[in-house]
This record gives sequence, structure tokens and C-alpha cells, in this order.
Amino acid sequence: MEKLKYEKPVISKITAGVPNKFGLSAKQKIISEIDGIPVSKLMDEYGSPAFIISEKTIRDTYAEAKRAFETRYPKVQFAWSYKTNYLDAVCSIFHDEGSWAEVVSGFELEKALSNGVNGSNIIFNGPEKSEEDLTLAINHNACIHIDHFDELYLLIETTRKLNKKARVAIRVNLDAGIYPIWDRFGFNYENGEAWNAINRIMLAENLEMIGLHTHIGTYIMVASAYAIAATKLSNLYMAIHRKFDHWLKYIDLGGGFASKNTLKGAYMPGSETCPTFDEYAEAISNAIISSEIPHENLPVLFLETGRAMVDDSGYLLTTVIANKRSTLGRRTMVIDAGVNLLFTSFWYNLGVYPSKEVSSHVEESTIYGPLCMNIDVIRDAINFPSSKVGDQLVIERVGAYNMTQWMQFITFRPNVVLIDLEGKTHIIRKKENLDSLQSFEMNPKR
Amino acid sequence: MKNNTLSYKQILSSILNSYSQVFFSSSKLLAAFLILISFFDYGAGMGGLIAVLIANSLAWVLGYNKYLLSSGLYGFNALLVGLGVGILFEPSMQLFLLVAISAIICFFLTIVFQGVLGKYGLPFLSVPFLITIWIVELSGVNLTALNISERGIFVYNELYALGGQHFVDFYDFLENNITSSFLRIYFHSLGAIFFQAHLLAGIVISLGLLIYSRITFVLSFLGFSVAYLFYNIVGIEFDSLGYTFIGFNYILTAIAIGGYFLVPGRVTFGWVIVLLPTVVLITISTQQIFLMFKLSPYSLPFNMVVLMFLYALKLREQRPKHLVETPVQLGKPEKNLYLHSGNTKRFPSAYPISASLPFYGEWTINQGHNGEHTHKGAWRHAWDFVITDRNGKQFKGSGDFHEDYFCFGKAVLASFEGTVVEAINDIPDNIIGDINTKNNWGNSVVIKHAEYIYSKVSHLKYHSVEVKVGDIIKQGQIVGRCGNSGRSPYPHLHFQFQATPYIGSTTIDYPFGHFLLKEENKYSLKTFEIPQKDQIVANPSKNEMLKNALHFIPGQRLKVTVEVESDKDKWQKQAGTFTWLVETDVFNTTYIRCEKDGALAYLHNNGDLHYFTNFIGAKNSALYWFFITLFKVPIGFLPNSKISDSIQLNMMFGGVLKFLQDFISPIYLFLKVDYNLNIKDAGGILSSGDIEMSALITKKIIGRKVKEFNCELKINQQAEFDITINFDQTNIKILCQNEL
Repeated sequence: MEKLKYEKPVISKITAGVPNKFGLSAKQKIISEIDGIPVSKLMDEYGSPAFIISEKTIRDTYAEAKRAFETRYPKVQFAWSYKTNYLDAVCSIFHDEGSWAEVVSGFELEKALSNGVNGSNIIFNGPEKSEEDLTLAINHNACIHIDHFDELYLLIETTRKLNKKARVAIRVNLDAGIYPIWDRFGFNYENGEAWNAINRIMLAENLEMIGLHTHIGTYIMVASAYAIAATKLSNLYMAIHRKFDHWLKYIDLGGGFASKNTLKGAYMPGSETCPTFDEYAEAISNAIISSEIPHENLPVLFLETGRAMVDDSGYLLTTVIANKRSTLGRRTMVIDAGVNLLFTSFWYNLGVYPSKEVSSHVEESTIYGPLCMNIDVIRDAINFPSSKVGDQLVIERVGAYNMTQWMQFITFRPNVVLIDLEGKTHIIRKKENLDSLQSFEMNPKR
Repeated sequence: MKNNTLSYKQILSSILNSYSQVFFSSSKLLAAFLILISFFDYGAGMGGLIAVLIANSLAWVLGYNKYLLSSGLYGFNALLVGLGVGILFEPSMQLFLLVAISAIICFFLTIVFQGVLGKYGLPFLSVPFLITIWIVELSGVNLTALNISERGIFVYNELYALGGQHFVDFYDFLENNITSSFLRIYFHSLGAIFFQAHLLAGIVISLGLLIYSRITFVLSFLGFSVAYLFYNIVGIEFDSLGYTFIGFNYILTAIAIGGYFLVPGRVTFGWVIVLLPTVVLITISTQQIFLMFKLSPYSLPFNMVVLMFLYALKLREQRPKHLVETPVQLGKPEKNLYLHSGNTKRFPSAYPISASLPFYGEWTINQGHNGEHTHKGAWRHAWDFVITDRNGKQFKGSGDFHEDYFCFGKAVLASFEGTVVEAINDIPDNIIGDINTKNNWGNSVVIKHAEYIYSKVSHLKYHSVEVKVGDIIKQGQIVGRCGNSGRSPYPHLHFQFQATPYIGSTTIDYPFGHFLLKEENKYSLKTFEIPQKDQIVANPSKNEMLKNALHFIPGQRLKVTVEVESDKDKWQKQAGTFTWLVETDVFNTTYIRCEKDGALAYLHNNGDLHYFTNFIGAKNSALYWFFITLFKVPIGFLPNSKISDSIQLNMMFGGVLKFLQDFISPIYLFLKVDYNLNIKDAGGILSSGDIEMSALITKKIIGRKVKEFNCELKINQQAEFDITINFDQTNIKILCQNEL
């Protein structure tokens, strides 16, 4: 028999309101394996920390989203939001499932092209598009979503220089009843700026207006906001038809669907409160179908869902480095993955779980990352069971934004591993080392 | 009156077709044979020709339909009258006057019967001839200036006069060597159609039939044999002479029903066997009546039975699977059969509406036709649809609540345009597992699409029906939401076609016009098929670019450039630049005509699919390759999908093989041409970029591949077709652009 684990005795205050023994027991969730592969095995093989991505989860989530929309609306197209996770292996899965690419910079555009995406299946968003970027986009026949008038002028000039046509849409910002209104991107709907832009584009020689785009915000927790946005875009769609006898090809409602992560300060867990794909789809489809648009002229509905599509598929494996007590007696723990890898820990109360059977006793703890920086806090308050140095932990729902917004800071960035549909593992981004980092540096000789 | 002129060609074909039309044919060769036969008797031959000329001239002068005129439909009854009258009396001026007058009577009777019977969609057959010939015969006794002909009595004299001693010897040879009474009566009967009472005429006609159409030849034999057998079985006495003048009834009935007015097949042959004894009975009985007036019933039994049968078939309520009326009369049973056998589904006339699936996205059929739960008996032609996830589950969570089911609350659409005739909206949804047997159909909507074609969706969600009785709705419009009302233990969508407008109506076996079938993440497009249980199906969406390119507008001119790499002269000749024209004919059929070689390619576009239906012209024409490559092209957007069909075999096979195939074609087709179109790149969901497809055409003999043609097709934004065809070291490139 294995030696029982030693737990230090702790004295904790009984607080009123906590369920007594007849209430719900706080059963600690354990993640001991991912897609059937033991966490310990993954860490033996790929070290700690390590990002793990489940291809099965990505494909299942995509299928769920696709079904939610396609059974409610006749023409639906997803575009993979590169900035959410642009590891080639991840993008390839989405493209294999039929997703287009949604990029927001020249770099992302090049990356999408190098992933074999057909230029005409790329949506080019974002407020920063240089003449060089626009040239590349026009030459590849990408759909350029214009953000502001200066970009429009630059684009007209560029098409003239190239003597080529560009396929364009405009980004519209609008009041969908949520706070804050994201009015920094695109042209405003309510004050007529969007209509003004449309008129200029429709009269521009080398621009073919094919769509309308909006992105009302991020982590939107009410589906009805999308219904308002869809209605407003449908109005513009009809107005363009009335004035110019021109049917646009699509309406793009962007992304912003909430994932099941819990926002800091939220009272209930995100998995309970965030709308499902079905709820978003119901709101959007009903709004467009019941708008004035005749059903034979319904536009293609584009969605650029990133976060909700990929968050669940990512895990970060990490190891306990040390246990401490703060001066106030609070239990704290240092792990080997910090905020440099987990950008989303600034917004979410990320789920951190043990990978092995633990005692049922939990204690409020603070989890620190390994950085020599005061801000490196993964969870400032989490009920966590006692754990020893070397215990392996799993942080779930880290698939979105972390692998793009991470920083090389103090430590190297770790391996990223994909578990494919057959349960085989592949490194899809190698752990950095000194050579790889220094290869870009140049030291002037003195 | 510029447009009332007839070309020399039209005049000739109107005369020739009047002859071949007697055997429902438009074969010039057969006509030549028949004219020859008719002149075996000078008086009859002249009479016939005069009558045809008079009838056709009348039709032209009075301004009747020129197409019908040149296909001989106005002339053939007059021809029969002319032949009949011409043989009754000795040739003289008076006789020809009588012929002329009877031809006029006959012509007007033709117009009358065309009008009357035409209203019922029936042919007038030889009814005008019958009435005219009886008029003449009844008045014959009083026409004293005309001498009753003595021909037929001194056959040898006549033959000698016609062809001298050799001819007489030849005739003798036939007479002595064809001893079988069966064959003799058969030939006599055939000859009798042209009022010729000797073997030779029959032999020539049967030879003509064989060259013109194998099926017609086989049918003439079949019809005659059945009647012959029946005579023997029931013991009707017949002497060859009395028999012959009515024996052709059996032959003509067999041809009309077995192969001409209906698409030939085993079933039509079977009906020939069933119907012929009735023709015999009618013949015997009418003979008794007509004998009182010293008349012959001539072709009356044939006319009665064929008209009766065709009319009865028209009144069928269910869409016919067998005994299909020839949709497009190509004037030859083989052609009709091959055109039809390619794919019955190609013919829109058989399916008046092209219905789409009543929902968005991919749904799974969890009960099909003849289902194991409720689709039984008179309600067996129905479908139940649900939505499943990748693992085949219909719900998430425990499945205890409506909202757990993927299909619950999803939009239900009108499968075709029509009028709402019934809409029920107030039956509550059952809790999961319970059923409502009182209002077993639950909330339902019945839509009338066409006469005898209604569709019904049932078990809709409580208070979700968005249409009301009398609403005129479009295809794809939302009518309600999928629910769980009525006899429905869990949410699903019930769909059926029915012939009557009621909620409880029984079902009819009618297919969906077009749908995508999902097979291992690939899709194939099915047209006019019945989806089966457990299949995952979805509606295809349209590709605007393809829709535009395949919309051939009458008056459109296409500039065609052909490049050929080949050793063979016949292909090289095709190279060059010329024009194709899009035109429509009197039947509202659109076709492409090649200005260079006059070839015609008939097409049809039902909004979801472009079909080429038929091709007339030389097989090395560039238009022929255009026809083959674009034989059937879906207008839907879908990369990596395929569509299959078979091209009518007479388009790709010829010679001895086809001659042999013709004989047994109604029973079995051993020649086959497969058409497989693979859509490689469909230009994406926004219909941008080029469309790339490849068509693989395979010629097969008894299932074995003998030859393959590979056609690559590209269509760009400007609706230009770029086709490359490869076979036998021959490479043909066709570039087809809009000529503006």
C-alpha cells in the first residue's frame, strides 16, 4: 500500500453561510487525463509547463457551432479569428473543417496565405492596414473590411495604382444595447457615418462592395445584443439594395461569443451563465430572417467566433514549485506557469485542478506564477486542496488568446502539444531555447 | 405573307412524312418504301398521292400549324382515304375527282378530331379516315360513273404489267417458299394497311419497319402473334382474305401502345399481350354490325382500344412509374426509350414540382418510406426528420426536455411555392415520451403546390405556425417551427406529399426535387429521389455565378473557338471560330444551335439544375462535346461533390451493337453510358472565383468499361466556358464566350 499523503494540520475559521454537512459537498474536480492520455505521461514527455490542445474538442466545438447556425439559417460561413490562436496546426484544423481566415494585420494575412488559405477566403479586418498590406490583400482578392475613411482613401489610391478591383466591406459600430459601445472601430451606424461610407464606396470605381461587418464587443453575455446588431445591419443591407439596386453578399457579425470561462468578479460560473451557440444562433438568425430582406436574397452570414470556439480545447499543465504561508496566514502556492503564458488570467478566474486524487479538504489559497514580478498571480483566491511540491496541476480553458498574447519574459515559452483524433501527440510549437531567442539579436562590436 | 411560305424541303418532308406517319414514324426511308408499295397499284398510288397533296395544300393555304404540317399529321389520314378510294374503283378522271373530294372531307375531319381529342391530350389516330372511307363506301353504289375495281382478282396480270416476267417469277418464288400461314397472314396484314393484297407489299413494309425501328418491327410481330394465338385458342374461324383487311388492327395497336405513345418497356409489352384479345373481340363484333351495311370496320378496333387505353391512363391519380406517356415525342420508339431510360428523373414533365427539403441545415431521416413505426399502409410515403450530432444523438443532456432536442424550435420551411389550405396551430406540445392520439398529426400545415400535389408538415411547435389558410407562400419561406405535438413522443418533423388537401390524407409516392446526401463528409447531389432512413440530407445552396452562366437566354450568341490536336481528319475539321445561337421552339424548349453545322442541343433549366435533354446533329460537332460535358450540372455551391447520370446510349453507341440493342431494348439494356460530374472548385460560398469541374464519360457493354472520355470544364466570372476533352491521343479545346 502506498504511503498516505501527509497533510499539515490547519485551523480555519467557520464562516456562516457555508453549507453544513447536509449541503453540497465541495467535491474537488480532478483532471487526470486529456483525451484519454494521463497528464503525468504528457508531462514526462513534454516537460512542465506545457500547453496541450485537444483536436477532438476543437472539432466537436466547431461542429456544435456549425449545427447551431446551419440548422437555423440557410447560408453560414465561419472565419477563423487568427489572433485568438494562430498556431499553424490549430488554424489548419479550422480550415479543414471549412473555416475561412479572419486576419487583422499584414503578418496574419501572410500567415493565412502560408497556411494555404485561398486569398478570396480571407477576411482582412483591423484598424491598421499599410499600403503594402492592402496591395497583398488586393492581389489575393481578399475581402477587405474598411475601418475608417483614411483607410478608404488609401485603398482607393492603391487600387488605382494597381489598376485592380478590390472586394470590400465596411466595419460598422453600433449601439446594440450593451456597455461599453465599441465605437473606436469602424463607421458609426446611428450618426450616419456608415451610410456615408457606403455611398462613397458604392460610387468608387475600383471597389466592389460585398458585405457589412460589425463586432459589438467581446465576451458578450446577452444573445439579444446580436439580434439588435443583426437588425441594424439588415437595415443597411436593404437600404443599399433600394438605393443602388445592389445585393450585398454577406453580413458579418464578427465574434465576441463568451466562452465558458468565468470573468473576474462574476457571481456565477461562466459555464452556467454564458449563452450557448444555440442561443446566439437563434437570436441572430431570427433577426435577419424576420427583417425586410426577402428570403431568396438572404445574405451569407459570416461569424468570426474565436474565443468560444477554441478556449475549451486548450490546457496548461503545470507543476507546484513551493507552498508558503503569507504573513496573514493565507496559504499560497507557487507554480511554474505565470501570467507571461496566461494572459487570460488577468480577466478570468481560470480553473486550476489537481491531476491526482486529493483529500476532500480545501482551503482558500492564492496561486502565484514563477516570475520575479509582483503581478504574477494566477488566482488570488481559490479553494484548493493541499498539494505538495512536484504535484502536477491542470489549468483548463486556456485555448484562446494565451498562445498569441503570451510573452517571452524571464523564462522560455514551453512546448505546445496537440492530441490528434487518434490520441497521438505532436509538438506543434517547440519550447524556446537560448539559441532561438538570440538568433534575432545583434551585438555591435566595440 | 412572307412567313407563310414553305421551303422546298418542308414541302417534301410534309409529303414523305404523311406516308411514314401511318406507322407513327418520320423516317424518310420508310416513306420511300411505302410510296413504292402504294404504286404497286397505280390507281391507289395516284389516289394516295393526290389526297396527300390536297390535304397538305389545304393545311398550308388555310394557315394551319406548319410544324404539324411538315411532320405529316395533316396528310396521313387523307393518304389512307386516297389509297382506299383509289383501290375501290378503276382509275379514271372521275375517280381522282372523288379522291380529291374525299381528301377535303377527310382533312376537315382531321382538324375537327384534332381539336376535340386534342383537348383530352389524345391523338386523333385514323378516326378521320374511318369516317371518310365509310362515307365514300356507302355512297359508292350510287356512283355509277365509277367502275368497281376488279383488281386483286387477277394478281398476275397486274404484276406483269408492273414489272414484267421477272417480277412475276419473283412473286411466284415468294408465294411458293413462304408457306407458313402465320407468316403469310402477317405479310398480308401489313400490306393491307396500304390496301395491298399481296405478300410482296407486306414483305417490303416489314423490311421498311425493320430498318426504321427494331422495336416497331418486334411489336408488329408480337401484336400479330398474340392475335393469331388468340384466334386459335378460342377457335375463331378465319380465312386469310377476310382476315387480312382487319389484321393490321392488331399490328397497329401493338405499335401504338407498345412503343409509340408510351415509353416502350416490359410493362408496355405486357399490356400489348393483355389488350390484343380485346381488340380481337371488338373486331369480330364490329364486323357483325358493319356487315349489315356492307362495310368493313377497317381500323375501328385499333382506334377504339388505343384511345380508350390512353385516355384511361391519363386519369391516373398516382404519378405513373410504368406506362409512362412519351414525354417528348422523338418519332422513334428507340429514341424515346433511350432518352427516357437515361434517367426518368430528367424529365420535369413527370414531376410538375421540384420540392426542396423543408428545413435549414443537415437533418437525419429517422423514419423513411415504409417505416417501422408509423409510416405504414396508406401513410407509408412519409419522412420523419431529426437533427443529430456527430455521434448520432438527437439531444444534449438527458433528453428529458424539449429544449434538449436539437431539432426543437428549428424553422420549418415550405418545400415549394403554393397556397396554404390547412394550418393548425393550437395543439400543445407533448411532454417527452407522451403521445397525443386524439389529434395525432398535431400542429400541421398543408400546402397546395399543384393539382393533386400537396405537402404536409406535422408535429409543429405549439403556436409556432406563421401562415394562415389562403396565404400564398414561396419556396423556402418559414411556415412554423419543429415541435412535439400530436402523435410524437419526442420532437421531430413529419413531412409527406399527398394528393388531397386534408390533415389526415393518405400519402403519395413523390420525390424531393433535389437534395444533398452526406456520405462520409462528402456530398452527392440527388435529383428527384426518395431519401432513405438514416441518411443525412441538406438543401444545396445556389451559386450565383453558375446560375448566371447556365442561364442560356434565347437570342444569346456564343462565340466558340475550337482547337484540336489530333491525327484524325474528322476531329481536325472542327477547329475554327464560329457562333452558337440560343433559340426556343414552338414547344417552348430552349436549344443551342450551331451556325456552322446546324447541330441542336436541347436543354432544360429548372432553377436548381441545368440539363441537356437531347442532341441532334453530327457526333463530331463541338456542340456535341458541349452537350456531353454539361449533360447535367447542378447550380448549387458545393466543392468536392459529384453528380451522376447516364447519357442516352444512342448518343454514344452506333452500328451493329446499337442495332442489336434496339431489338431487346424494352427488356434489357446492355449498352450504357455513365456520366459523372465532379465539382472540384465551386468558387466558394460567395460565388467568387472560377468554377472547376470534370466530367468523366464511360461507355460500358454489359457493365464492362470499353472507353472513357475525360472532359475538364472551367467557368469564370464572365460566364466563359473553357472545356478540354481528352481521348485516344485527341485533345479538343473549346472556348465559349458571350458574343456581345
